[in-house]
Amino acid sequence: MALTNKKSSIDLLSIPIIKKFIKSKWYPGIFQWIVLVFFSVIVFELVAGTVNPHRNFGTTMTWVLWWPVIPILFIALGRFWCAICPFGKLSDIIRKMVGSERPMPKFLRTYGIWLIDLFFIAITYSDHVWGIVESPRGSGYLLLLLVTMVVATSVFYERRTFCKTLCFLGGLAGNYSRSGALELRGTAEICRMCKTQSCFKGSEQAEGCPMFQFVRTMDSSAECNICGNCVKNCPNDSIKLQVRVPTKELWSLKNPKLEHASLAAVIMGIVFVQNITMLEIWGQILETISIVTGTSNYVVNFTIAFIISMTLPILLLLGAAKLATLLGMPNSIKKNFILFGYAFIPLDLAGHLGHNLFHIITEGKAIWYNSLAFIGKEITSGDLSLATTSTVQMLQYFIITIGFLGSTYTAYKMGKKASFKAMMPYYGLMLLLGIINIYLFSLPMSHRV
Amino acid sequence: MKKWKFTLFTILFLFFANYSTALAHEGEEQESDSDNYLKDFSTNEHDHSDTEEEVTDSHDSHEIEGSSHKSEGSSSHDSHETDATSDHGSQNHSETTNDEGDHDDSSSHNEEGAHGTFTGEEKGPNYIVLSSFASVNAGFLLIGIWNKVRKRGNKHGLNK
Repeated sequence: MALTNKKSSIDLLSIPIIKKFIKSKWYPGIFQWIVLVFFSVIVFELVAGTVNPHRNFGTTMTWVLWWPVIPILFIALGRFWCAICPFGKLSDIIRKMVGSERPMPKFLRTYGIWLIDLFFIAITYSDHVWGIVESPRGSGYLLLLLVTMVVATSVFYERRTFCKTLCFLGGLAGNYSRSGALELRGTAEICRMCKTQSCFKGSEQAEGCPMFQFVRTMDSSAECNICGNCVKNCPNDSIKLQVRVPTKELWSLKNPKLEHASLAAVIMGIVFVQNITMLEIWGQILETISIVTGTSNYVVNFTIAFIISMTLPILLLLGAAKLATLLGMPNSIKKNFILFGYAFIPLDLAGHLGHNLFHIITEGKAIWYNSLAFIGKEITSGDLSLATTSTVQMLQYFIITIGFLGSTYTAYKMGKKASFKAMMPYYGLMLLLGIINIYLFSLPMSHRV
Repeated sequence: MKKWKFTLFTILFLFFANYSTALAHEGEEQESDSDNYLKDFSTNEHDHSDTEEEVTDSHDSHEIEGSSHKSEGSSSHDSHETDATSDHGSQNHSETTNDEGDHDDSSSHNEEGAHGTFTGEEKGPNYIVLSSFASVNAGFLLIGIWNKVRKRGNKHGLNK
């Protein structure tokens, strides 16, 4: 039973205006329609607007504004973005109009999260190979490809099958939301007595949980969109929307999974790749690899750098798990690998945030200039940055330090009764990853726009 | 059922093949833009005789506070295949740069800290790619409508 019976945390649904709004038909529809309209404009601009990425409204809004803001949303509001995501709304519309509502295929149910991990890695890889971020058309086609996947899954399958099993952002969203400050849970005493189960099955008020969650057994915020359907459907007012200490969910995981832990480690590798390829030493790195491979082909050399970056955190985690087991940590190496993989998440978030902070701060005014240009008001643009490079770096160091503390504390809480000696490999690993991140942020970077 | 699955697989295969080609094509376009840029740069000539509009970024003059940032094209190419830029086109094609002869970017690129110099050509939407997306999506929607109609027919016993 993953319910709440504590009374200490703040329940946002105890505030009448919030509860009334979430129960109303306006939530989350009003946000969904606004986002859908914006999304349509962005896609149009990407596929039909200027091919100059520095002037394209869609590129700026997607990669300079949305992408950096998304991890902040996950920390503050969990997967609320998924509730208002245009792909989710599109899925809802299609299912309502022409959906067959078949059950999710067993293959997707079993391997969905692996597919999500795979898509996320594939998109990051293809960005580097084809330059999707720098190409408005490439970004537009990527969004249209996702639209096609949404349409295909929504025509055949029930609920948000795409969001649950295929969306490349789903794994990232799930992992980050575990560290988020918001959680939706049921009240233990009430849910135990419930006979209707309308949070899952749905009612006249709203459809059942689009993410296939059953509030009575839900012990994680990883798959909760905070769409409010369960709040609308529950006849017993059991649902609570509570503010919690970020990373708290990670401290006592009941059912840790290899795919989530692997993704957490891979995200660290992706943050490394994103940072390294924007550094001036990237040329030297590629040059070194080209000496080993004997070819100057960028794709070949980048692929090798990419694979090394992806596998490095996994190997480090595996090494730490083995060392910890040797030093007296209970459980097998595999169990320790899976459990402590989740401890990467705060550092992942910090690395992701730190990287994107650079873009949003040093390229932030592009949002303003390109928005004005979009409505036909060309202005003589000046400097794009909102703060000096040294200010950005100080902020990045601060964020990485917070991430390091979050990861170390999470590892400490996960260790429970393990001795300090047995925990040393994990503390050392977090410190190493923190130092690598800080070192990478201390080097000069180039811009997206 | 098997027939349906086969049809779906074929549609998806054709679509994804098309998408990969589209992305690769995008990459090539970027590369050629980058080639033009490097060529122009090395010869210090900007005589685009194309009739198509040449785009010059109005952000060219942006100066970033703190000189540690280099622009995407500001790193030294130094006659290597690999350079320290985030622009994929120029990374992929520094061999072309070599063909053009050595040049000292660090002294000539006078835009340290300037974001996004763009001297490519404006292009309209690629209607082939867009219509492929449209037709695949329309195909799926038609399948959905067909399923609905069939279900309704079954309900009313029309198939009997």
